[in-house]
Amino acid sequence: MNALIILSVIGFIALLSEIFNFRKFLSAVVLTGIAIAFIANACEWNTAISYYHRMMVFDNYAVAFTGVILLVAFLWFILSPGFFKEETSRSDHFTLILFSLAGAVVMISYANMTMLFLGIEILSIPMYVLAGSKKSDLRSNEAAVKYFLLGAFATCFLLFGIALIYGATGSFDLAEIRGIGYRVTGTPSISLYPISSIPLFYGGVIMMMVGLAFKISAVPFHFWTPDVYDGSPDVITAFMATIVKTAAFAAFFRLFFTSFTAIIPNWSIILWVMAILTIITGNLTAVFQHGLKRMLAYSSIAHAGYMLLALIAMNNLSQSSLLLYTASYSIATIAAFAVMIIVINKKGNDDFDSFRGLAKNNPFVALVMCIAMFSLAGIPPTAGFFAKYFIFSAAMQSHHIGLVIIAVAGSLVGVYYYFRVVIAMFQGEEEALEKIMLEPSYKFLLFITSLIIIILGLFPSLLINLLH
Amino acid sequence: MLLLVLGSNYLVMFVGWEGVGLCSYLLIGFWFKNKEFNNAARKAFVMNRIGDLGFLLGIILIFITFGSINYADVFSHAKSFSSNNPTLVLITCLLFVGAMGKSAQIPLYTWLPDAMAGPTPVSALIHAATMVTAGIYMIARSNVLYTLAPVTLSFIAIIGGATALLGAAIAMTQNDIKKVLAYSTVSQLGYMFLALGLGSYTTALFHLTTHAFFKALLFLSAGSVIHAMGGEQDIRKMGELNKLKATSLCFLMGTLSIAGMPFFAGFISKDELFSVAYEHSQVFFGLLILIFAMTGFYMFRLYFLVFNGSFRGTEHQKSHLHESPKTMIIPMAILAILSVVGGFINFPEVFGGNHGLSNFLANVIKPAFYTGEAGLSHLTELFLMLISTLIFIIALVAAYVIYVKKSVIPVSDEKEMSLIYRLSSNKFYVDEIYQTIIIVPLNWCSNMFYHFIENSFIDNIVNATGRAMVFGSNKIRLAQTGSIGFYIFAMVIGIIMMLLFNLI
Amino acid sequence: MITLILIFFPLLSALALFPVKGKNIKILALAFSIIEFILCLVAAFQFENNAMPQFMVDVPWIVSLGINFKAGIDGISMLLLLLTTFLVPLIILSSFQNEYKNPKLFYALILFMQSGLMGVFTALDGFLFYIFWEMALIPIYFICLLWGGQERIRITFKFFIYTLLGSLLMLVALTYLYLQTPGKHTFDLLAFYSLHLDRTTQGWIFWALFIAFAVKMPVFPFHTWQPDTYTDAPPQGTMLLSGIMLKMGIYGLVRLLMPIAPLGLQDWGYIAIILSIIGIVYASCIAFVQKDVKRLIAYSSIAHVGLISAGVLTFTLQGLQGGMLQMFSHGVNVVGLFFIIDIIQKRTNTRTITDLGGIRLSAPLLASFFMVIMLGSIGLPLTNGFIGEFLLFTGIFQYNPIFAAISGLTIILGAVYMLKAYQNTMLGEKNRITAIFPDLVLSEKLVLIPIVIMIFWFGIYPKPFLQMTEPTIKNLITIIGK
Repeated sequence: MNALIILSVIGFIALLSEIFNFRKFLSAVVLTGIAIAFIANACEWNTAISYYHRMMVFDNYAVAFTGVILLVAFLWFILSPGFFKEETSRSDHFTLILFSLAGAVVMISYANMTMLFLGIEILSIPMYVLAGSKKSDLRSNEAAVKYFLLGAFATCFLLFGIALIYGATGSFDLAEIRGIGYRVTGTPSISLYPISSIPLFYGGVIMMMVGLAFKISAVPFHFWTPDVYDGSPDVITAFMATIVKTAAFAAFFRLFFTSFTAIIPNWSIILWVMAILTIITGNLTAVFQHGLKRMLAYSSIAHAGYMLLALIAMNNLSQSSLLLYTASYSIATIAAFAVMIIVINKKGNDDFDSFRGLAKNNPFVALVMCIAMFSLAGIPPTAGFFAKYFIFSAAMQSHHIGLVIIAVAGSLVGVYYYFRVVIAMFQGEEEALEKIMLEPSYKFLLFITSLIIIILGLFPSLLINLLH
Repeated sequence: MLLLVLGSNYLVMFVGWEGVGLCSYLLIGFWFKNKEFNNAARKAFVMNRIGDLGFLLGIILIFITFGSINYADVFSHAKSFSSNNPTLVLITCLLFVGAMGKSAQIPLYTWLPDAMAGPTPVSALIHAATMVTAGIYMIARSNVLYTLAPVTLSFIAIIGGATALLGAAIAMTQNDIKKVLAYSTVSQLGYMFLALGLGSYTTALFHLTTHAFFKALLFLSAGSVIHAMGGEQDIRKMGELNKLKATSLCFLMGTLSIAGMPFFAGFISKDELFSVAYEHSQVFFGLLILIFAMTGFYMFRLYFLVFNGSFRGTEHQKSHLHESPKTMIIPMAILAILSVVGGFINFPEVFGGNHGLSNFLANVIKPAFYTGEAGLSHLTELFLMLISTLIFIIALVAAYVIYVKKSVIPVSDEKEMSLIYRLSSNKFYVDEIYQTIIIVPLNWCSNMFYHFIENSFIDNIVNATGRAMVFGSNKIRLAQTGSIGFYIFAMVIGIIMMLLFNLI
Repeated sequence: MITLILIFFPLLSALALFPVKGKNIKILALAFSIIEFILCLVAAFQFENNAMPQFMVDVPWIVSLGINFKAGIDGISMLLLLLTTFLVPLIILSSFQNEYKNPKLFYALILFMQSGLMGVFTALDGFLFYIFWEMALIPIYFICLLWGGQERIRITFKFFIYTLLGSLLMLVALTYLYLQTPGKHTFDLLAFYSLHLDRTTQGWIFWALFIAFAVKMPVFPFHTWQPDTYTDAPPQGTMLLSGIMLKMGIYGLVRLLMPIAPLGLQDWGYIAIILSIIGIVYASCIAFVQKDVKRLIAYSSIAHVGLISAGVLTFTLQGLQGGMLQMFSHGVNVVGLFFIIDIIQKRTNTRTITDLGGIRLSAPLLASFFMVIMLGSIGLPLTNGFIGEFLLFTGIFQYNPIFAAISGLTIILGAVYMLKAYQNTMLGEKNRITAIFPDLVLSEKLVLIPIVIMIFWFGIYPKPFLQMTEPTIKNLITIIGK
């Protein structure tokens, strides 16, 4: 709760800064605010206090994921000054981001379905606006429209699902719904409930799954992702690919893990098919891309597929593996975007060819990119490797070996397209960019992201043990 | 070589075995600038290796069967085996394969004539006296095993006899002085194996010794001749070389010994072989008569063509004719003396000798087919000696008539020849046969493996998976149309599928 | 403790290379690798010749996954550690005459790879084994990518993904085994050994692991990445690949596959042996028609490794011992051969056999070294190749005499193509290309002399090495027999 409060306050401050004209200090204020929020959040560890009659519960799960989001947000704010410098109304942008973050926190710590809906909306609406914030760019406008339309469409389903479940169970509360599923005796069935409501319940679950699947970009609800990611301004894409996805997954998992475990057999297979399709589609389409941004967009679909394995597994390893995966994936993505922005500033586009020769004069930048790509591809000793490993492990523990094999095959394909960047960087020394002068904040960003990736790669227990 | 014969187990023998093979390779290719010589060296090594494979497998089988490769252990264990035990037969056959390669028996003999590419002293030492005899040594050493496998012994006898015949047949029409001696060596080695095959190990070793004397002598003398002729080796260009007194005398001694002049070393050892054959097999006895005749014939042909008649070479060569220096003559002389008197180490009793060699080896080697104390009667022995002397005379006379009286000179290569002559002079086309049935298919196989299977097949599968990925990618990305309507349509289809599934 | 030092010292020295400026990189890298070799010798002297792993280190790493940092050195490991630390200084030394751009990175990658290799050969925890396995793969990928030949992008990609496929298969198998361990799951290899799974499962595990190792060695038909990769890589890359890295596959067979899936070995081993033997004959035939001498040696390596693999899989004392010994011999010989090819290429700019000839006339020293190493490669007695081959043949013969006869063809075919290669490059007349051919310089001699010494030492007195591995192998056979 503390984090939520602090974020909202900072959001307001940002709003006010426009009026009271202290824009210049805004970045510093925001960064400090986020840092304080992180600490405040950490203080809530092991408390599990619920608020507003069990609307939100800040259990360890929420605290952990909130911590990840705040860390990534911190890094993101270091990444994005350029974005804010151009626009005149940048305090508005700050505000929108901060409110979006607040929505993310709500999405992670909800204990009541209405809060879930609220959180998603608070998260998404600023994103719709920000996607189109590059007003001069037609593609940005298109991205915003598509995002909004498709997002609204999906949210309808979410809401419909919530309504159906309320109709079937009479409650919005997650724990209660779970209890109704299990009854006091603990038998995992809802057969004791009035027969007429069972289709309602199933229907509700499916609808909610659709709504959330849209948010995480699972097939066949993924079509918005490449267009929106590609059209939005780069830093906004970075935000979407990391924080939005993390929050969406956290919400998805929380919902199903808490409430719907009673009827796992019903929806598990749907997720299974979804995961396979997502992995295949994401990886295969990424192969053909020539630009880094679009490639990252498609590969994020693939990563969503891998993360779905945690949901399918639904065992004691799922939570921790999901935490590690979202953390490592987000941080690596931030690093990749940071380097991409550097290259775009120099060369004007994000084609793979623009990366040629990077290693020669800018070895530090190239190294960071390498580490990020290795992590995304899943090569030891990076965090990404262990993240993938844990998730595959969880799936294997629940005897989904075929799925793991497909995921492994997908990872191999992933190696191919992630390595194209790496190879390009070490080729073409004639076209090397001259040594790029980095601002200290950028250097810090690149350094800290690679450091985290390596440390998590060597000591993944740091995150795993949190939720175990 | 010393390692080979002094070893007390099969592995050490094998080390020496391969070692002499290596030296042979290096020495044949001594003049390494010449491509033909290099090829000859390679051929020798590879053929040796083919034999070595058999040898190696034999050693392994010995190790597995007897638990040891020490001669002492193996031989004492072996005595408990029954005769013609299949394992023993296999072991002895495999070992013999090794001998086939090393000692130039059919079918692995074609390297020896090519090995004449090396310097003549090399031929004298390695390819006449020491290395090629390793196979005989090995079989004699393993006599315990072979005696227990009479089947193999018959096989050895057949091969030995055939080789002796073939070698002699080819030698009759060769025109290179060293080639004649080479095929003669092949033939003589055949004698030795025939002796082994007939069960008389000491006879083989005896002939090995005498052969070493006179063949080394012949080679060195040939070297002397070639040296005198300034490098010429074609006997059709020689003649009247009895001017070189020392060389021609030495050569004559050697020739007489190999042809079987009574009481010369060669005569004694050949006679012993003759007796053994008479005792055990009529067929081989008859064959030996023919082979002895051929041996005598080609050797005398060689002698007469080189040393008699009138000089047929160029003026240039004639002016350079000179006797070889003392350093070359002295060893030849020593060998000549040995060729004459060397037979006395195993002189038959019939003349008062005491069979010295046989007695010396009696502890280690017992004959395979023990015919009792008496053996042949003295009368039969004398009779046999008479026959072999007769053959000697006939061969001498025939050669004399053709090559001295009638002064026939072997025709040059372009002229028409009779079928038998052609077969013989072209070595019965064995090399060509090998080329067609082994080398060409091997090349074809390798090429097929490489171009077809490797490149087009296996690698294609690997590359195809890669291409499939790219193809799939190309197709799937078309789904991303950019039209919201399509997106929503796809989503709705998805939802319907999910609901349908749940209802079922 | 010394295990940790041996594993991590090369890694640290790789990092230490970066701040150094100037020309001394080569010398420094060489010094580091020699220090590592000396450290290994120290360990070898302290090594007690029993079957148990020594110098163990056992530290919990990721407790929730049952992964410990457990490593130790037993007989087999010792031999391979010696091989690695012996070859790496020679490999570094072999590059002294080459001018590479970005030498810091080059040598750092070599040392980094050495770290991975040392880890693979000492790991006693399954997951740790996998980590080091990958850690050895990444540097060699970069070495081939950055300093390779014309087609390097396509070829290294193929190499990387193919190998990665194999290692991921291995990881899936290891994870499955992990999940089978009773109670609190662990990756400890000893726990894996005592699993005693049922026959069918062992069959699956056998194939998963065998394919992983078959890609690495390589064994027919998973070998198609190898000729291109070996030919296109820089000489040091090829030496690392063929000299040390492929031994990881054979080591994996002995350390993982055979103790964990003995029933699988019984049921399916014969197919694996047949594949290995096919590889011997197939690769030898192809070697025969190669025009590029580097590619020829690459194919001959497939043939040799096929023999080792077949011998090891027969699971006889002689076969295993022969495999151990031959690993060492092959490593030494093949590095020597590739180095000589590199020398020839540097001087004449070509590797095509038909273009060369008569080098012996100008460079008799080189020709002599080449002859010795070549003879070692074809297994002449008194050279290192012979003892191993003999033991391997004995092992295969006990399994099936016909197999032994067919594998024995390698001694004939090997002589055929190696002698042909030698003859066409070294003997005969000089031609325009080989007219000027300086003989060996000091740094080249320093590489070749230790190799030749090892060839003869092993050939004449292999006893200490046989003794080193014997207790471990016997122990292994006893464990599996149960």
